[in-house]
Amino acid sequence: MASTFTSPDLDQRIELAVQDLEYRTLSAIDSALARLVYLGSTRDYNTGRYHHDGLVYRFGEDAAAAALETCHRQAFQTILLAPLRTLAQEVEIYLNRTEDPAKTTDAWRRLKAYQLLVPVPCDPVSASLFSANIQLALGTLIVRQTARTVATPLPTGH
Amino acid sequence: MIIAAIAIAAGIVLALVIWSLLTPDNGFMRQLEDPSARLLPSQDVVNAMFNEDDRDFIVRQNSPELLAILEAQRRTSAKLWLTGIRFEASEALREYRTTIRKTSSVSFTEELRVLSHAFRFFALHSLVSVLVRCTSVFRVRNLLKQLYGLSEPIMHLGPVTSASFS
Repeated sequence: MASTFTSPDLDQRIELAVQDLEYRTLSAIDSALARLVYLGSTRDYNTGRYHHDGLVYRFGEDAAAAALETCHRQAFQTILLAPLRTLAQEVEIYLNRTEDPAKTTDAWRRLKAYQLLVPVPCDPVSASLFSANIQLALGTLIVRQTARTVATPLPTGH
Repeated sequence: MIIAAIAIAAGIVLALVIWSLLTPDNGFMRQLEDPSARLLPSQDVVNAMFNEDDRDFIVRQNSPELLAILEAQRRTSAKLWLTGIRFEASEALREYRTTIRKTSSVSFTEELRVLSHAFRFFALHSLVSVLVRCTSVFRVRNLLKQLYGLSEPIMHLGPVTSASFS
């Protein structure tokens, strides 16, 4: 974890790695939720360790992992503090860019894959609020989709 | 008549404090067994949790089911936060009792201030805990924020900060 490193050299490398990550990679991802998903995916599900080949090559393994964790926490905080309206837009943009938005929406709703996006450690209240907000954002999308389906008359085939 | 009303009100508050202290949230206590989970969210998160705009946004969706989910989830988050903040405040007071008092001389007035502040915190905590269970959390969000404010000096009880305790 970033907080456990004390060496000044390492601190400097972490800072540079964070800047590099923001400049080269994160700036190219225009949605806050997509950034969070990307950063969450750099964490190994088995070990909880962050990894990014390019960052390791330039800044070393510890600095790279700490930089990824720092950015992951920031991205999580951004989404956590976003109003529901903004989050619903973020979720809609993210899902619409996937191969099959309907399937992904359904998978997110049923499998709750978004729970893997929570950084560790995280206080239980923030983790619970994050899950609740994503569920509500998905709920608003489903409600809107249902309303659109009802409002659009079925093709008659003529 | 007024004295009787005050006595009844004080009795209710006292009963609520006792009830609140005797009913720990087992789910949260289990989570607290993991030391890394013993963290409370920042005030920004607490403010975001009870943001009235979120409720307005869901109301505009015209879906009673979604509104019910929002209310239920915010209630769960509020209860989790209330349990956490009570636990942390109790720990801070216990630490104050066992270490600060022994290592530094604390005046009687200071002790009284801490005691009265702690009583206000636990009384408001009990009241909010009851209200959260029986009404919308958005209606009591100002009380929740007030409670956060009252908890701050307790969390920072120590040889330096207790001097500025008010």
